[in-house]
Amino acid sequence: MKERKITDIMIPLNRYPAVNPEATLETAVGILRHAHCELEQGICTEAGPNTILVVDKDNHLLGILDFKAILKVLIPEVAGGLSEKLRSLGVSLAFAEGDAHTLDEARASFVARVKKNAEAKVRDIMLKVRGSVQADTSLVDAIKLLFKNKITVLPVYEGDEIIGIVRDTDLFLAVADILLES
Amino acid sequence: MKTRWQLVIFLGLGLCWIIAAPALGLATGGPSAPAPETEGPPWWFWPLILFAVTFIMGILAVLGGVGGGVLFVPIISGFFPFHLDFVRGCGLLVALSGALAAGPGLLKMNLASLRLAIPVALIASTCAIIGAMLGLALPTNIVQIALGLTIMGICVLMLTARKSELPDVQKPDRLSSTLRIYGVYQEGSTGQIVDWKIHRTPLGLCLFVLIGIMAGMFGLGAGWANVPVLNLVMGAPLKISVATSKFLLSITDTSAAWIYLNQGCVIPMMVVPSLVGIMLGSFVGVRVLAVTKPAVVRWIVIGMLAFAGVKAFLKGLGI
Repeated sequence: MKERKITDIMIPLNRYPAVNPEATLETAVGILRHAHCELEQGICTEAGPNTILVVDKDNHLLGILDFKAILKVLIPEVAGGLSEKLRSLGVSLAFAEGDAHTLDEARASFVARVKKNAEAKVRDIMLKVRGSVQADTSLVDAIKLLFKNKITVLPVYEGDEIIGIVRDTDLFLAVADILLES
Repeated sequence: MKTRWQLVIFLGLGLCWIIAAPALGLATGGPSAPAPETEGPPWWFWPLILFAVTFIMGILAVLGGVGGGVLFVPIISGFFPFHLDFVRGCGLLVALSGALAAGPGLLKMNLASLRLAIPVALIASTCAIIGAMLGLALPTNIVQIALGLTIMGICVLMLTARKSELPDVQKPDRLSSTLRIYGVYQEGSTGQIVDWKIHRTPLGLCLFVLIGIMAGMFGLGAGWANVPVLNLVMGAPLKISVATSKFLLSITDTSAAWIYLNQGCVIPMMVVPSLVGIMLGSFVGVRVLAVTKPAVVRWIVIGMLAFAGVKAFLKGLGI
């Protein structure tokens, strides 16, 4: 059986969800929700991409957002690190010590907080792209890079131009196909 | 995440032990050290008591609606055998810890207004430096009497001052217009856009001269005075006043803290258990506050403050 190439299994750039760096997180979540949730009989199959690319108008890849990064911004006091928790404690403290705890937005309703935090700009919260592959990279090298950098997607370049995205799902399916076809 | 909190507590206590270790050597009288004249409590006694007291203080401060620094200085100086200078230095850092934790979040939420904070901070921090220098230069009993009177004044303020969520400012004064002190924020729960402006700016700035001097002199923090002046005198919305006041504290108290630090009035053996205790107490307090706010706690806090104020006053008079 002929070994498949990265370009055979990748998702072309124009079919992958992408957002402008100046857009709000709310916009990014809307695009990703739509792309991730392929509806079949009204039920989300959750078969689509788990990440959204941040690209400028010239299609330069600037960053990426995944579920965890998004949740961390939307609900920082729970999903974020120690500094976010301290910050949230500090804000609550400020209002409690000012005898105005009813005004504390960090303790406001979950829905109100999520909506407020979704106003963040994508460029302020996007993650760095850690690693990329060229179109002629072997599947093994791509898998190696995923493990080494602890990531789930890799942009695929042809020279300087990004042409698509390969996900851990695509690499798993490619390896699974080897087993099943043999 | 639980492990991280445990790590922070462990590091705090570890640091406390490391700092206190030389004291252990002295207290137990090492091989070459002279034998102590009187048998005192072991070296870990006071840090442990400080930790326990500040932990409870942290909970009460949050539930009673006052700053940790306001409770810390009168109670610790009144009931612990530490010199007032060390207590004031430590009190400033206690007040600072909450302010520094809150600052970035309040700025990010667009609630702490830089336009309002910067001119006020310039005056208050300059005066806080003067206040700290004055406090260290004056005889301790005079400072103690002034502290007692201030604490009693704070009690009166807590009992009488009413807050106004959205004060009615008909026309901004000339100074605030020149300095462009106005802003907009969005009410988180309703989404309503609130335009705000201030008035009586010269009077407010003059009051911050006094607030700055008192903050520096007593190490109390100054939220108790900042919020009423920003809210009731200058007419900033309560939300903006509370947030800007906390942000202001991080500037004014830092300025004063340097003076205390430079004079050797900041003892890590006091500061570390106090900071860890008050922050953990506040953490618990905020959790409790989310469920209930017993009104009686505020009365207990006011009562405690009044008692500590009278004690400080009498101590200053040598009674």
